[in-house]
Amino acid sequence: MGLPFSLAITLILAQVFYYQKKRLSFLQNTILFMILTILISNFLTITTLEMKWIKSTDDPFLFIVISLYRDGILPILILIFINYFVTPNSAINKILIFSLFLICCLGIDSLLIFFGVLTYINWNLFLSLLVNSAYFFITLSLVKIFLQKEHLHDNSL
Amino acid sequence: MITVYERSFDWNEWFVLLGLFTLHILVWITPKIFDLLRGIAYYLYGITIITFFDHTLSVRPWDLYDVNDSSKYQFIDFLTYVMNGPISYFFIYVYVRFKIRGFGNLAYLLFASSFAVLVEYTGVQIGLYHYVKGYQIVWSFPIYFMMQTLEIILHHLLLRKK
Repeated sequence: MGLPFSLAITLILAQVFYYQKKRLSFLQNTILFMILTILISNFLTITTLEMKWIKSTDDPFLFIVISLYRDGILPILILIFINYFVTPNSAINKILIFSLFLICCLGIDSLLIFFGVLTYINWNLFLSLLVNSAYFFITLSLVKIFLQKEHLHDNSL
Repeated sequence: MITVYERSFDWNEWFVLLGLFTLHILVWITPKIFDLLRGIAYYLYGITIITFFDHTLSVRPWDLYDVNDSSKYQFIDFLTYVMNGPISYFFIYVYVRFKIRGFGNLAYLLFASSFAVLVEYTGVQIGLYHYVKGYQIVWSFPIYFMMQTLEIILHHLLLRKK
């Protein structure tokens, strides 16, 4: 049940990302996607294998869900919301976008627990939200650097 | 259960450190043919791919091989991933520099994948990789071929979207 559901979510998110109006270029989004994949993979491996705060599934098929989550679902979700967040918006809109992002993360993490993909041992959903927020703000910091460089380049022309 | 292959600082660690240092110096001194962001994208591609495979195939439940001195995830393992950044950078660097086109792509990919397998075989001999849990090096050739093909596709996509 978990695998087809995750595959469906990944495909839907990929399509949303493909069709949405993006503030960032293909190159910028690609770089951010790769950085996020590296960060999320390392964090998940450390928390499951080394710290043992989270237990990942031993089922080889269900493990594909973890791969989809850290290399597809979560990075794409962050990029979708970041591209909306950095378009000119009021402060209230930005708060709404960030809140919606957190709700989506909460939903996905809850599904991972429900399907038995991850089991929280010394961990909880609030900590997951904190970590997902950290990914969001790290990505935002990188986006600010990209946009600053873009602005400097445009001014020099 | 954690498997420890050795505890000494020897060939595999030196291979990673020297490789890391040498390759990054080469990135620094070679004439730049990409703008900064594209160079970063090609660099990150290698690290992303190796991270994906090592965090999928060498961890439970699949757990097909181990990297470096033990089955634990150590900092030297992360440095091994970073070592792949300059490699993927130079893969596209050579591709662009020698203006590889058409069937040249196939020849280049065959050469690059074979070379990658040779380097990996060296890694196995010096204890960088431990294929004692079921993985066989013959699998590496199609994996390298596929990932290098994807990198060429990424390169062309980046050019088209420029």
